[in-house]
Amino acid sequence: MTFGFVGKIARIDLTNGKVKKEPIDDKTAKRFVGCVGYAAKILWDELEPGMDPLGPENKLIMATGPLTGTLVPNSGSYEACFKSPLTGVWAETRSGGRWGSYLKYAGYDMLILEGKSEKPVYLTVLDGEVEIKPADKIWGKTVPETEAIIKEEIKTPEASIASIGVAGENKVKIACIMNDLERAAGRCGGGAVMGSKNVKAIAAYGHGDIAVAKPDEFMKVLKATEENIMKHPGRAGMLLGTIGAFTTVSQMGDLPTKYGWSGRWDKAEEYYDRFLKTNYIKNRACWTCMLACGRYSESKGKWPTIAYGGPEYETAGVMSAFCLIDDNDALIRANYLCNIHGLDTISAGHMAAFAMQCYEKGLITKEDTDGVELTWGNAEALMTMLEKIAKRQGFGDVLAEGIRGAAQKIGKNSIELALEVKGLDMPMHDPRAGKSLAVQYGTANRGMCHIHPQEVHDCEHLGADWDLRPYGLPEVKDRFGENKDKALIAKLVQDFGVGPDILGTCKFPQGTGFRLDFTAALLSATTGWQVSGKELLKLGERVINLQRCFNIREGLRRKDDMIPSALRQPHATGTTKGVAVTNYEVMLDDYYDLRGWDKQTGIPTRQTLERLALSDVADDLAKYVKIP
Amino acid sequence: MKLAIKYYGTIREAARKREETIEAREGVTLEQLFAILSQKYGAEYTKLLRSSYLRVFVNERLFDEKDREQRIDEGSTISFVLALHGG
Repeated sequence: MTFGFVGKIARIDLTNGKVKKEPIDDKTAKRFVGCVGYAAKILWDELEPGMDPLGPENKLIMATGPLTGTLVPNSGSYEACFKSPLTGVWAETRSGGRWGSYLKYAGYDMLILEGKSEKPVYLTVLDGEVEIKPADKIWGKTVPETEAIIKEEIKTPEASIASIGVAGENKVKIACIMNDLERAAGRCGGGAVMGSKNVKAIAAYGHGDIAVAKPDEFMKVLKATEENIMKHPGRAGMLLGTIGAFTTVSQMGDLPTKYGWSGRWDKAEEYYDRFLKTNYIKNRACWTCMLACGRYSESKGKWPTIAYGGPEYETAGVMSAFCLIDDNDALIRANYLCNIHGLDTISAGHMAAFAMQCYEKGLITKEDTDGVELTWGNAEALMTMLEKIAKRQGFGDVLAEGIRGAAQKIGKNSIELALEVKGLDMPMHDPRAGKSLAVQYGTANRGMCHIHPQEVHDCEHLGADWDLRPYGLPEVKDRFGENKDKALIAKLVQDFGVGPDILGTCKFPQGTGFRLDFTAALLSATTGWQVSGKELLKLGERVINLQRCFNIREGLRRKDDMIPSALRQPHATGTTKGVAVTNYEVMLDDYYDLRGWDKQTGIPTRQTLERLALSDVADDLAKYVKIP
Repeated sequence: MKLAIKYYGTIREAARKREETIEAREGVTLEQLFAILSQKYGAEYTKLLRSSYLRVFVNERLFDEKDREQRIDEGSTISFVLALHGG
């Protein structure tokens, strides 16, 4: 058995109602570690390319890593991995809270959900026992109602529950998986996959231990890591929460405004001040977190809510500047609605803004939108659409298909307006504020994502360095420059950013003193392996290439790494006024060179795959495509 | 002459304000402005002002180390940004 892992996977056949327990394979763990690495290997081996992501043949893996649930800071994470109904390719979506830790204390590193239950069910994983129970009482309920009913029914109020809202039940392609009421595995439609299997929730609780290979060494490195985090200048920023970056990001030209027309919102400062004065209650922390970046807020104004978790920066950006809605009570309400119905806040707000953009351009009218005037700044329209999307009502059914699906239904070449890559809509950072983000947006395996693997452009416009200079991170001389350095930043920070996704920790400590050498030392002390920082980067690179092969097998090529044409237009205002992405293809060529991917097709070369000890994957891939 | 100062990120917490207007002599440089503000706000603020992570804009243009001795025009807006990460 590998230390750090509890050693077991539960494979749950929902079609036949059977649960099979499998051991963690030590060789696979050493090769890909846990979470998105181990899960990528399972999905590579077990999914047929071209299958329907919402069909019973898709698999939903709820995965932790060797550091999840240990004393390591910010180690309450899990990742849901699956083939995405939104993008049709590799999907991973991480959440904090405590569900990941509780799954391990309950005796499992991962759950693999297969098939489809005939009737709605929920799962319990309690001290080693996995049970499938009828979900009659909770189907159709909100996330908070679901959690309360399950805790009462299983008589375990301490349990941590991951569940879907009505959006997931309705297979809305931007539905998320919620846990611990307010934490979300948000992106790529994991909630729809769970809903397609008729699974409403998974409750986890237990009292098991996680064995560590070298406890004395572990405690020594842990102490040094914690001391470094406590004194790191980035920690003060994270204590302000992700929303604490709101005005900063706007000043840097990185806050997409009016569907990307500008990178600065002139209302940002007053808006954030009002949030602090009227909505903010206190900070919230996930399991073993040292940063407490979560917020706890309420609205007592026109859009009332109970006190609830959030909002994050991303939610704040998309529900305000992106839609030009200058109403922070509306933000709190929109965040609350998304959370209780299980909608990804980023995609939900993005779809509202996309509809506003189409409305302004005359591509849709009131006749199409059930009479709703989707004008910029219209908070009422936003609230109406969020409810309609979750319930697939009227025009909400169009937006529930996600950015590509909605553009296809709207027609009139509306796809040309869409800010998306691989079918994942753009989050709230703009590559015109730092060009390495363009490369990240184009090449991230799950689509147009800022955080998986990592927020690469923070080193360009905010000065983050993640202590990666010894590993070759270049000093940025010009954030607007488009040169080889931008490809290097993207590649290096991506390889680094996969770390938390295979170890089962949060990404934010990476920029606040949880250095690569500490991470490698903690992984070594936990598992008994000897892993250096450099080797951890290579593990990240291996996992990125495995996921890339998954996408290649699904038919993706270089053309799918292109960024939206709208980003090639200059910003209208702010510190990025006049800046556009102009030389993307050259940066992409440089990036392919660094990765060892063929420039014509974007396929990893056999030499690259062999260098990364992925010969078996290359052999499998060769059955589907010609490998350069 | 009057200069507008704006704060973003953690330095805003140290200054305890979002913006302010200060009086400075004509032809003041950014380096001299740093000294005036350090005297006004004390050690904690100065530590942040001297942080290698600080970004300084003068009228929307990003200033770097080599611009520190450049004279600032009357009515300029100087923005101090200190945040290592977005969200």
